[in-house]
Amino acid sequence: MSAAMVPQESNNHRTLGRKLGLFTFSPEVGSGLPLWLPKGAILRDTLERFLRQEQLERGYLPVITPHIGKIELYKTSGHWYKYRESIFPPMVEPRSDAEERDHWTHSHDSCAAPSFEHALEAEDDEPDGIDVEAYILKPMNCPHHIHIYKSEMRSYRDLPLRLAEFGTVYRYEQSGALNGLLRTRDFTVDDSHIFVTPEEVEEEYINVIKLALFVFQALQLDDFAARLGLRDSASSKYIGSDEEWEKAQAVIMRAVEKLGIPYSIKKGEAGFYGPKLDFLFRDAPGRQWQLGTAQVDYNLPERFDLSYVGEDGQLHRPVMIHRANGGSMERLIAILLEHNGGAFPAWLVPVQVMFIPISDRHVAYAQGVAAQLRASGVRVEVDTRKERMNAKVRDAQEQKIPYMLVVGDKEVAEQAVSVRLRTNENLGAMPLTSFVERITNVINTKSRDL
Amino acid sequence: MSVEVELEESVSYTPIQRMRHSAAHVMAEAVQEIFPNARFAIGPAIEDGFYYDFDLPRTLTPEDLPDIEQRMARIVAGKYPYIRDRWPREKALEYFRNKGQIYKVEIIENLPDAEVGIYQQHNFLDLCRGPHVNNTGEIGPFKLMRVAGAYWRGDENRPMLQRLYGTAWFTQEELDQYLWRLEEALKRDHRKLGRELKLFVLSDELPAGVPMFLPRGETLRYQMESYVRETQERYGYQHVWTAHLGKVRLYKTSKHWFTYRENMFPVMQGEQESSEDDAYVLKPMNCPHHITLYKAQMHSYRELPVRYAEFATLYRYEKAGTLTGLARVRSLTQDDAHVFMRPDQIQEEFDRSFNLTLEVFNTYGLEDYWIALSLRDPQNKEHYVGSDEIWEKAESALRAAVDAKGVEYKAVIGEAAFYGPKVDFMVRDALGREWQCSTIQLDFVQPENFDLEYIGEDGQAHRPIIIHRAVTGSTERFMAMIIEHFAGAFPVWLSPVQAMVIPIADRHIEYANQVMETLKAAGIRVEVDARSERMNAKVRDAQLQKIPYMLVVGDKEAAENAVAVRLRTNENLGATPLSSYVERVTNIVKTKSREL
Repeated sequence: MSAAMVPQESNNHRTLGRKLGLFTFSPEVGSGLPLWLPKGAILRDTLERFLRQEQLERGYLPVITPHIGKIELYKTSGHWYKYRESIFPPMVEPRSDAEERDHWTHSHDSCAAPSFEHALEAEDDEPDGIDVEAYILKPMNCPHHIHIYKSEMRSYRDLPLRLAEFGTVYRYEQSGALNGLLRTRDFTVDDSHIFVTPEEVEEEYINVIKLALFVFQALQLDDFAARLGLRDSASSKYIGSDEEWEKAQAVIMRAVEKLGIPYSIKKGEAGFYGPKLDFLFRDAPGRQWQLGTAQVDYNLPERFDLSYVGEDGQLHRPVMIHRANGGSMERLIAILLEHNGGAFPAWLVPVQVMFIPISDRHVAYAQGVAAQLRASGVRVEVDTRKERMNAKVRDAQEQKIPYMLVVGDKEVAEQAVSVRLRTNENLGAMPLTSFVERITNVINTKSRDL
Repeated sequence: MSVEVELEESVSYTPIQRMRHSAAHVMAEAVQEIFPNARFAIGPAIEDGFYYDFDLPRTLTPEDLPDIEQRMARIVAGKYPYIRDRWPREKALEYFRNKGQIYKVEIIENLPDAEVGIYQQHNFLDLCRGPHVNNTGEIGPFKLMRVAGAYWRGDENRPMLQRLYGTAWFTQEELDQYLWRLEEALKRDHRKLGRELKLFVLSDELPAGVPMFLPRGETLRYQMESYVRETQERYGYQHVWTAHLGKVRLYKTSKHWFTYRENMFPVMQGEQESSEDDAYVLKPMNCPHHITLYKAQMHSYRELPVRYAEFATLYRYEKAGTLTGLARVRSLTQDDAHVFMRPDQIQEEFDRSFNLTLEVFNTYGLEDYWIALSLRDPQNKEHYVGSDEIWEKAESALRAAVDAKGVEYKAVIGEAAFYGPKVDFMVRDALGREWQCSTIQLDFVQPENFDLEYIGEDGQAHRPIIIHRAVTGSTERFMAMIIEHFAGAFPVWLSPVQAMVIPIADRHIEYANQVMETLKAAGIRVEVDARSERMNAKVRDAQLQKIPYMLVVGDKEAAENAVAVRLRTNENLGATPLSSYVERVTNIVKTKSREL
């Protein structure tokens, strides 16, 4: 999955996650299922809000789909056959309940596309052994989004239809393969499926890449490259005709060349339904990480018999783009941690400001000012422990808090704060209003400077 | 509900129930006039009306109802007295046996009493405990509603009877009001509005009871959740994020596995899980996960209370037949929080949850609610976990906390959670229907189960107490409620689309797009209706979508940088400078006003 090299033990994301209080794991909940502590949840939530807003501005439509689906859905999509070893064990509905439900509803498999299903079952050596109603944790979001597409008649005027979701998916990884947030059993993809007319594919695809580049920029992931994953012509794990594969590949290559992005080609890295472009990032020590992906897909629209009414009043087949900027939120945060050692950009960091009162008599002032900052949306804490100032500064620095505001008699008298940065730079005393202006500006513009 | 219970309860009928019960007897007499061989089962008063179960030679159709109603009206007009009698059991058995009333015979056979109650009015005699009104003339305005099938004694292996429903009220006005509410409830049905307003989808291709939210439904849900999230942050809660599943082992420790299993989804056990304990299960409740988070770190008395909040999706394997739109689902998202605290913090934390709940209700304009103090049923201790001592402690602490708020509440026996007593908020919507929303639960049991600790001022380990609480409860059910409460016409801050710009002709589309960009920049959710329809059709469509503002733009508006504002209420505000309109809406959204 990853082209990553082994990170250094002292600064790996698991150690940092513990030290910064971001996330934890528990054998009772299950290995590979991260539990996010308050600071980690802020990080994730801030990231998601940022991505959601950028996507809304670009015409994406957010949706919410369940974490579970019927096996039939994944048979139609082909995941059940191509991906089965990565799917969690099914939840088999007790027989009596299944019968009760049959009493209430009609057929369950109205979505099956028989011709494809038969073709696949013929390929499938293993019988699935499940003949009653069964649910599975979803391995991918595409079938659910396709279902939303199909919930209404679509016209060419509705396209491109960009359905987006922070969709949690599940992989039944071997426990030995789990690795902190980099490889987990549940993860949340900043996922989107875009349904377009064949004429719109290329322009839309370019916009998808542009958005990803914008996001990486805001996250200060600068050393960016792309990898074009193609099908391995010797393997039989792919679906769809040669012609479709070539069309999809051509779209991607033209887009990448138009944008002038450096890219490499790797055979055998395609999705089972189409070729894909993976976004890669090289961090300071030179390790390469895989982020999101953008895939062009002529196959699933065929399998699910998707259509739209064209300008000519006839039914046409749309094309799908599967895309994610960061890939999974878990993985993205792991990569950010490995890259920046926890020193997140000021707009993203869980605690943006730590107030350090020099002695107890400055606590009230610190808390008053902290409340003011909070009201303007800044994430602030006050260190009221009875430690020496230097110890507090050191602790805040270790927590990678960008701004340490030391307040003593002088600051109280002058309605000021003494500003230290986590980079060790000392800005000295400044009026409170100037600091508020500075930090709001840094946050709003997602600036790299503090 | 069993027959016995219904008969027993009839003794404590309120005046209106007594009148409705008498109406059921009149209905039975009318049916007897039409079908002399009718067999009668039971005919109690129910909420808002009454029914009677009949075994008839043919199926009733809606066309039969006016005939029965006319016959009933004649019986009512006759002012026949209800004559009460007591018969020896044997006499009653013989009488009903001779009449072929096999259901009455069965009821008597199951009664332990030596004497049974008999009521007669006009030409109808029935086995009945009463009480009844004095004479049929005291029966108020009534109406027959519908016929449905019902198994004798609710047992699908017994005969299928015909249940005829009616409603009766003291005044015509009350009856009219009731019929209006019924009609309104149909119009407001969240399943119907959910489809029309494109909020959510439930389909056969998805697991039953598991909704998908369409873009407009997502927007609504996002606004609801963001509001609760901000409010919780203001009240000092920290948000966390946990998985949707856990190991069976976890739910054995929490005892859910033993007390709640029938509501849990089937387990997932694959080649990597060698025992049942290792198998995964979708979480039915969120507490074990938050407890796990609490346990991941050491806590000192100074850090308490620790307040973890999460919009957590839970999975409950409700019976397929009981699933209803968003109101009863199999996957629900709770605005769940767990507060870990010291014993001396109970009151303060109870107040915090209580005040937070009232603030949220106030924002939604939910003013009609009552509070239940849900306690353990001491007759059924096996449904609960924990010693008597712990339950006494928890119940008296919670009672003291709610007493200290000085609000009215009703104590309800048998409604506690398996781990502790709770305070529930029952909200009545615009049609007077009740929904359970918020809950505040006090738990001394799970801290024991999980061996939770904090280090006290004395340096020793102590046991914390947990408050489990939810403000809106399940987001899905709350959404169902507000859809019906507002009939889809949400306050502006919640409306998925807040403004629709309607260009009069194609040449105004460009200006319409400019207006859209200005509004978007101000954070308003806006669309342009660029279809080649007539303006009136576009206005009507936007109104049907319950979009609060329709902004009509033509030559005049384009020239003046204005918009002609129409409200979904049909009010016409006329041409308004764009900047004033933006100011108006921004203010309404910011204050979460329910005005337009």
